[in-house]
Amino acid sequence: MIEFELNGRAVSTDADASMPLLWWLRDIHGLTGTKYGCGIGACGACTVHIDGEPGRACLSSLGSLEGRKVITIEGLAHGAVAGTPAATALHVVQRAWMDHDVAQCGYCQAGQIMSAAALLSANPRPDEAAIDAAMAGNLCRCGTYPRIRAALRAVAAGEA
Amino acid sequence: MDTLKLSRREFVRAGGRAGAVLVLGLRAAPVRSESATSLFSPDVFVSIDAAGLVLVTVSRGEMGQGVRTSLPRILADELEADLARVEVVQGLADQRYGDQNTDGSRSVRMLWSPLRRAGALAREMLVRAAAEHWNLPAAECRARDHAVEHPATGRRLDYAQLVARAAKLPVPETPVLKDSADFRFIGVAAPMRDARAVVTGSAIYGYDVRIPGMKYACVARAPVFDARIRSLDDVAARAVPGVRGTYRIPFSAHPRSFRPEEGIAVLADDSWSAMRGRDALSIDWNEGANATYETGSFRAELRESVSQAGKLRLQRGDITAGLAAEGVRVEADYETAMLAHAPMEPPVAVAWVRDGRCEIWAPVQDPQDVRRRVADWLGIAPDKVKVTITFLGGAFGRKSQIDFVFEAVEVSRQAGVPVKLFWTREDDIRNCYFHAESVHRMEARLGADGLPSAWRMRAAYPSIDWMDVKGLDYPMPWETGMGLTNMPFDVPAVSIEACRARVPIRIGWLRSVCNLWHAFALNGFIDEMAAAAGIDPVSYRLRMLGKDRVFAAPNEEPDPLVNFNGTRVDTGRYRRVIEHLAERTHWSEALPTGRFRGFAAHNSFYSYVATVVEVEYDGRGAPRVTRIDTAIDCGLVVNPEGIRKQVEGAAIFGLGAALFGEITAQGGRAMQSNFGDYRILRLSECPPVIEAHIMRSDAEPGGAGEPPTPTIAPALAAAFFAATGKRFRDLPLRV
Repeated sequence: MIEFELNGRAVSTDADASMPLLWWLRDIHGLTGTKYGCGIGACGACTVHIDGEPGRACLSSLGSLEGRKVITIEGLAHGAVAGTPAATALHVVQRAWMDHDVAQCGYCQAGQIMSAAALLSANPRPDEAAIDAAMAGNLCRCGTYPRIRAALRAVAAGEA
Repeated sequence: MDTLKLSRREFVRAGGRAGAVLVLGLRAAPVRSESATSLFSPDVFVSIDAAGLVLVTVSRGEMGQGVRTSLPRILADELEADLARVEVVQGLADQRYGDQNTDGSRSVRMLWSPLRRAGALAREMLVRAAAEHWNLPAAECRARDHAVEHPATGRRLDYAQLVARAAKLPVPETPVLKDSADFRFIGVAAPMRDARAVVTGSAIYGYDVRIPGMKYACVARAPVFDARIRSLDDVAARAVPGVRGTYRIPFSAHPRSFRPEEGIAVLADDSWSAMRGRDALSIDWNEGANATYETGSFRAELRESVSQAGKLRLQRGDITAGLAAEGVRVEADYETAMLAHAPMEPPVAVAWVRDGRCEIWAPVQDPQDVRRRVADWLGIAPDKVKVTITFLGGAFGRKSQIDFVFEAVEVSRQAGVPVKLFWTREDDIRNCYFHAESVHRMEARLGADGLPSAWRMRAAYPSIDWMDVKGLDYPMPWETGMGLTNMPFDVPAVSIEACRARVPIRIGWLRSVCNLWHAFALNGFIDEMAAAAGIDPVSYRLRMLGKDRVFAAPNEEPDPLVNFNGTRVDTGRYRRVIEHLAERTHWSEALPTGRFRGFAAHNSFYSYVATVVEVEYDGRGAPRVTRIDTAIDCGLVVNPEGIRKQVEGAAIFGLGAALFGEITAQGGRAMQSNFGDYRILRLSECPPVIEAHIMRSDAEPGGAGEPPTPTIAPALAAAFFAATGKRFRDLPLRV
């Protein structure tokens, strides 16, 4: 039995400890906001927060999560990240993503948002180099990068 | 091989664990009820309920191009609706909607008139209903903000109060459309309608569909085009915990169309177990003749092919005499690499075959095509196949090539349970319908004015029509029609030839299709001719255009359903988009030291595009892209913000392909398999400025998703030339 915290709630599972978190979340637990894109940690579509740090759900085995705190895009929306008022329906990054009309197909955006939120909680005023470094691991095939940058700049400048 | 049927109890338990409910973020089309007098449905695209809520059916798939945002606004504008009271319904596969193929940059183009008509006739009926209620002439009443008003008396009735009466009126044959000066939503920037669902992770893509009792399957499929299974050992695979069985995907003879390669599917309780089961399969493949396919020798074949005459696709004047005439001779070959679409969501489909019926939930571009082909596969009537489109996590052409749907259907048919058939990224790259590699040979003779008096173009690349024509080994007229035979330049002697190329791997269409390599070769060669003539490349293009004229595109089908690039070419629009961008980018002015730029233009999918790429270069390493400016005339614009996003996305898609997009083959196999070896552009590699210059136009709407892509690679190559003095004639560019 593996026990960890998911989006602020205790969960336990008897699934195989070597199963990646991604497939457990999506197929067993039924949370499909975290996306599959490559399975090798090369695209960032499955980015979640593990103890506050951005992590790839496709590379994180269930066994490695014992006692840790995991937040997915579904939890981010409900104020599970420190500094977000619980009453706020959306995280500041999610609002900025809407204000800057970032998404095209939208498939990679949960991962983009999770990476962006992790960046901002570690560095509330990232410069261009910090944005590039933090977001370089999240691929978008539609090409929404200019708007991701604009949305992050706005949050960093306190405009969002 | 197993047959697996869940007991009812198992079914309920599986469903209960999975959450029991079918979660689909897209509302499906309502069934029209003949008796529902409170529901007003004057057309297949619109209905209004008793509360006045307008339901607009979007019959095309949403794959990031913004149809669920733009299309309802066309109808709502004509209807004079309040957008806050408009909901979108995703249309199922249904012939009543007409063509549903979300492909060829034509959703707005094809639906512009039907949606305006639907909104207008609903509006006319509501106005007439109000006029009858007030006993006033309809001409004195007008629709505004979800209500009908009588300005003279200040009377007003909300649509909710009018639907019951309107539903009893005859549907007008020829509703009067609004004057474009009165548009309220058309031409106004609108953000993505589904943005909230996307940013909260609640939007349901094909990969996210869950239905009770669903099992998960992946396939070990032919590693080489047309390879056959010689023998299979699946004992170890079936022993993997969670695996429920293995199922054979049968070989499909040619012409194959979109039917899948032969393979073995592993069905399991979850995706991870299915993948582990697949890893444990032992399959001995007879790889067949295509196993000799290798990029280097194949490229040499294509080069040999363009050294000889091909099939004539366009002839004007006397090319032999023209090329032999006095004057400067220019010659160059252009080559482009194979590409994969690599949408962030790989191919995936959920299918449930039972009781002579089939239900499909999938991110597909053409639901009617899925319905027709799956019915044929199963030997049942098309009306027994129900197809629901989910959000598409990117497509770029891959998801109208539906081998993955057949696989889902076949496993469900054999296993008797609902099946989610998912592809991994490795599956997606290795078993792509690749954008083919190409070789072009360009030869021209320049006249005394420096312009080409004779121009021969030869193109060799495998034809996409291999799918439906067995043994095809020449590019088809519609393929050379995507950028070569419809080129706008006024050259006295022209010969455009399609040269032989066999098809050693599955190829298919990818965003902009043949326009990608044709625009690269055309623009590259125009720049070389301009340099030989000592004329600025932008001035040279304008001179080559000659007098403004409109001509019928050769080789294009008159039927708009099978026409992609445009039935007519308007060289005036081509000229104006070049002039507009030259002005906006101050082309005639010198750049600061260390900055260089390149220019390209192209017409495709009924639209006209020009691009300037600017780079900085200090003589060391590779030039770095500093900005990309693209001007587009895509006719009348419904959602300028949507166009802007397509232009930005196309620049990034095109830039990544030009810099490092390359699939190579050895032993008949793609040598790349994931984002580690098939690079796409990263945020950190994205130029700081990408700007769209959208031209005002009263022309009928043209395409926007594909047209801004083909100009990127040639403009980049031209900028690299400006910076380094070296011509770049191969894609990807190698510095």
